[in-house]
Amino acid sequence: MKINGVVIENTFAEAFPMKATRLIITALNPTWAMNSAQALTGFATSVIACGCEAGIERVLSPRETPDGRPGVAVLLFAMSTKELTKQLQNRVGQCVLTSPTSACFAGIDHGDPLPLGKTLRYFGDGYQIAKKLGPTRYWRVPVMDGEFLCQDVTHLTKAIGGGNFLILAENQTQALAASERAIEAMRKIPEVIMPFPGGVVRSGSKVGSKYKALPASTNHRYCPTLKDVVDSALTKDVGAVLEIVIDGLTSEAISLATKVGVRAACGLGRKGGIIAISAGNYGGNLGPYHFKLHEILK
Amino acid sequence: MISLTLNVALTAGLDLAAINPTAFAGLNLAKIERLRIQYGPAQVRLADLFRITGTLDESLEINSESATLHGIGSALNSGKITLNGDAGDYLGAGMRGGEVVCAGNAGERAAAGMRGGRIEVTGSVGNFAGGTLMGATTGMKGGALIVGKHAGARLGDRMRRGLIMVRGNVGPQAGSQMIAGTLALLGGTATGLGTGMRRGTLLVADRDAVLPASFVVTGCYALPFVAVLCRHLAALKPPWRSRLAAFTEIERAVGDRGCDGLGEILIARGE
Repeated sequence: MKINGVVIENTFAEAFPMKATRLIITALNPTWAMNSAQALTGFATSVIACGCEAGIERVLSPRETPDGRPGVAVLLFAMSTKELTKQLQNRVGQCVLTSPTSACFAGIDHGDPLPLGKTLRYFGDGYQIAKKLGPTRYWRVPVMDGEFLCQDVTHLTKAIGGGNFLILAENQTQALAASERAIEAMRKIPEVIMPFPGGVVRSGSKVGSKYKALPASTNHRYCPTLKDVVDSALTKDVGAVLEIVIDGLTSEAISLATKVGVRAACGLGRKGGIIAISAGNYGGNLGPYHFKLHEILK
Repeated sequence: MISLTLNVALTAGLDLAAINPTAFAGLNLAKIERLRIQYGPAQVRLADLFRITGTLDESLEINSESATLHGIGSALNSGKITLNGDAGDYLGAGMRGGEVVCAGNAGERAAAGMRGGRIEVTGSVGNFAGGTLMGATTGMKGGALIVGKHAGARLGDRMRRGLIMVRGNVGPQAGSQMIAGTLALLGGTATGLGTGMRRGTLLVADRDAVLPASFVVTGCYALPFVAVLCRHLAALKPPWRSRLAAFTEIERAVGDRGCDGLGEILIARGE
């Protein structure tokens, strides 16, 4: 299969089950909502060492938020409910509660509850106020700029992590340009995040290492500087590879994001230095979700 | 829907606490007619006072021109009761779920001890609405009471949870001894707002509301919570949305400090 002269390899991305939730962060204006969301989703690129993977799903207009202020929807993914709960408390406590004018709401209203304001309320030192409106409980915690409003719980949903595709280009500049085009298109898709810096990862990993302490190490078969040294997966004309990792709430969302992203990346075409699109997998042994490039793109 | 139409002029109070759609479950019309109700000092059959028509489902309609039908909906867990006429005392008192609509006025202690569901009174309610049942130490514990006209004295007395919204004026000491919960007062207010209040919220549209001396004004704010609350109120009663417009900014008073209370009165200060 080729798109715009770019070879689409007949392979698949291998993804695995995760636990996820969505938060809605609001503030007095879009800038401060984004400041808080960026802080909350910082250092959350990979569960390998960050505890969770998180990212900004989309910007919300005042009409879309519970308090009628500008907002941002963020998604958090972790490998277990316990870890997600821990990350949620730490990140909301340190990055949203602390952010001027912010408020925090659940972005998913079904599934097992995850404590949000339920634990953060104790910061109020007895001056916090509980309010139950219909079935929803809120906590109002007095802070120095007024009041931090936080929903009591958010909810857990099953999700998928590790969807991905690889952009193989002649050089670094071309690979980066294609990645940027892909990310710009993929950010319009709901229910997915691309958790790495700018949505792109250059240090794709394989499971394990020659060093026993490391759970993951560089994916040497895709490193262009090792082409003639190892059993490289790259042809001679490939000078750079970049990966886009996708976490999503559903397999449909990941498939759509993959489709949109690959097509956008292929927009530069073979003449733009893009040689092939591939995907990372472990022979089907790691995760139950397989995103086959040819099926998604047909 | 089963329809009960009062066909006698009542000379004493009638207790309808046990009459609701759930109580009718599994009964045919003949058995419903034989249900016993307390009428003054005596027990009578339902059919002695009402013409009973309709088919059994989750709703009940009561048509009455008497204001002495007490306890309507007080044992309601689910389903809907529509009262075309005035209600006596204890309308929906202690109810746990479902909906009661009263197209008229209600007497004393409407929604007293209510735990869940929704009561809407298109007219006015008497004293102690949302307050305590006799002998109880806490008032309303959940659900919503919506009043289209006015409310008597001590609205939400000792209320612990839930929401009361009144479009018209409220009598003296609204929110007295409140423990928690929310009163949304969209009309005029009287003296003694929040007297003895421990916690809870009084949302007050009356810009001229007189605060008791034992409340401390902490300043004017635009709180996100008030926006969330107003959206919730507007969803409960969309036609009253315009009455909530002035809550974009509120003046917050805390009290009743006379009893170390941390309740709040939020007075509309927006344009």
